[in-house]
Amino acid sequence: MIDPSRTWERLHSTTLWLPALARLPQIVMLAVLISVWAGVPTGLKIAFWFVFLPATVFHVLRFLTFEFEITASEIFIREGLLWRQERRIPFSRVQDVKIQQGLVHRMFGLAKVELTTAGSEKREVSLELITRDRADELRRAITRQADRRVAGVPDSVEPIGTTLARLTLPQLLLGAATSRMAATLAALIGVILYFKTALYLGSTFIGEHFQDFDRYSNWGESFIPFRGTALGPIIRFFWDDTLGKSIVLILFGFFFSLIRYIVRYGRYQLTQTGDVLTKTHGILRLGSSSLARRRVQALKVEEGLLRRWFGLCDVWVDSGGDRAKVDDEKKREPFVPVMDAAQAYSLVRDVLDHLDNPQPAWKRVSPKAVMRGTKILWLILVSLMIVNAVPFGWFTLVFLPGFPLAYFLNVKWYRNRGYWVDDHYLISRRGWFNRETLYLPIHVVQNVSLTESPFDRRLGLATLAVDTAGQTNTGGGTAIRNLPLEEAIRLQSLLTLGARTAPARRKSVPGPVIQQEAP
Amino acid sequence: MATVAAGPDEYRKLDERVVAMWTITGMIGSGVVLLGGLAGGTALWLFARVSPLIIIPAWLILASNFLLETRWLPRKRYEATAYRIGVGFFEFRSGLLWKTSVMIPMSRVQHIDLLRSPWEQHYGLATLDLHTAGTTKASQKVPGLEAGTAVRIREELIAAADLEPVDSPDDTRKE
Repeated sequence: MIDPSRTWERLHSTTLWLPALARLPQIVMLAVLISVWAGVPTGLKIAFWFVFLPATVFHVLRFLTFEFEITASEIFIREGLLWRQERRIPFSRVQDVKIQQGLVHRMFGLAKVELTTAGSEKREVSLELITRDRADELRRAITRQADRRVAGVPDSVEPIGTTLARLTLPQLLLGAATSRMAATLAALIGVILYFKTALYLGSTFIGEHFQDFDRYSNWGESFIPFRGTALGPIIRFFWDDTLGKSIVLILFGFFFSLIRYIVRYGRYQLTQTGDVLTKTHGILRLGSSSLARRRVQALKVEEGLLRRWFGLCDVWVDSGGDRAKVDDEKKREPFVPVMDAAQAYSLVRDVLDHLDNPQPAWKRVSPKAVMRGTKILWLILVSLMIVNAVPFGWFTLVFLPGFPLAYFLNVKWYRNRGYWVDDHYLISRRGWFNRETLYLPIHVVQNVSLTESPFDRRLGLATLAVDTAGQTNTGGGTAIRNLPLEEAIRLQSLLTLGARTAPARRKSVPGPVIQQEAP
Repeated sequence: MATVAAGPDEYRKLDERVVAMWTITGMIGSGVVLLGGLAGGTALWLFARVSPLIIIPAWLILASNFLLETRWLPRKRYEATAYRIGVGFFEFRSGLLWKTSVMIPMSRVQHIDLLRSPWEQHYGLATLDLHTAGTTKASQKVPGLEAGTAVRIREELIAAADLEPVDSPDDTRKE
């Protein structure tokens, strides 16, 4: 039943108009779009009646019907217009706390708070908006809860935070330039240049109709300043030529991705307060997210090709709340967006308890993996050669260097594949171009499966797959292929029994307690 | 607490009646495919003038599939499937070509479903579905158990899961 004795609190009064105001650009966009083919008055009317008004009414109603109370150990939420719902979320269930502050929010000292619990797929609680102070209080209460459960820290003691990582400006710039987005754009330039060259070369052979392909249009030429000067051809190239235009566009994209990266991850800071890790970042919109160390389900250090050149890497962490599958790249959020590799491995040791060596003496999978992988690539190459031999004849020989290359790659992959199991962790490393190292606490293992394919059985090998609960950011548990069968069986029981004796985090107890009441 | 007949750490087989059930379900499944193939092939032959040289081998493949599913595979599958209730874990192995063995720590079992399809009801069988909080393999089905055994295994697993050491601070609060 709804408890009348609670002292309910409402969201901050700016909730009445600020969220609606934040949607103003979209509303204006819509109004403009409709105005184009229905006239300005109609556009404004439609935007007002169908978008602005409903949004405002929604936010007013939400403000009037949403109440909450924060106690020392839990948060109560009461919401709903007709179907009143009351929820109770013990802080011990909260997986992570996110505080977001947009530019306008910061002017008013406000913040949006999101809490995630293990039981649900989506954000459990979203407080939009409360004052920044209240948000901090809430976070402190949750943090204290996490701490007390670990170390017996009394309520009154305010733990002192230590900074684990911070981004310097050069690191940030380098990180932006080596981010995935930047790498993709750079690759795109390469591809366009390559095909362009191929097209030009091809056109001389294939025939006349390719000749006009990239003729400068007469239309553009009359607009070009510096015509006739030495700069003329260069400007004409970037102004009129398809290749030039694409390069300009991609450079713009590159530039904007740099800006986006810097705005997003500027002022990055990772602090540890007691057992709780808090990361804060963002130049305009300040976001901060807290996670108890013991909630860490998996930790992954990714060293992309570009970043490895510069000795950089990025770090990813999953808590039990991150259950969604990894299909949406956008939802992945780095724990540390960019970091020196050496620094990252010492951070790993800070974050994970009982981890002796972040880069242990790697154990290798069976050496049979090399020839096995090579044979698969050779098979592909042979079929490619046969397919190409029919129309192109001797041209098919260009695939020949692929055979030693396939072997070379497999040797490299084999040498860089490694795993390590001790009492507390399963560590697995893979990749030669892009290297990733995954740290999996054994106590998060949910089940371990061992598979022998018909080919595996002939070689006496097996694949071991470990399944965990959180996988949004790290990709979750790993699969180790080409293990010798006895080793795979040994690891399977080791991990299963290790998971059994290690402290468990069961989700069978529901996170929030929900009560509903008819209108 | 009632225990299942075999001792701990021994592989146990499914109930043998599952062979008969898989024969029936295989007969229905592959039979529908075979009849559909026969009808479709005849239609292609008569109306689209597809060469019998293509259609007849396709029929042969469907027919051999039917034979495999009804004569050979149910028995082989039965022989390849086993489960084991160890100390603190549950193991299920299956698969003819791709052999798999899944081990689930007892303390990771979230809940267990007991399912009975019409055919299973007819043969007095049941399927257990073990759920964990995992993502890629969040549930593991154990088919073809004798209905009473299934219930007993479920009780046994639940009891064992409850006895498991769970010293997480999360669970000090019982709700």
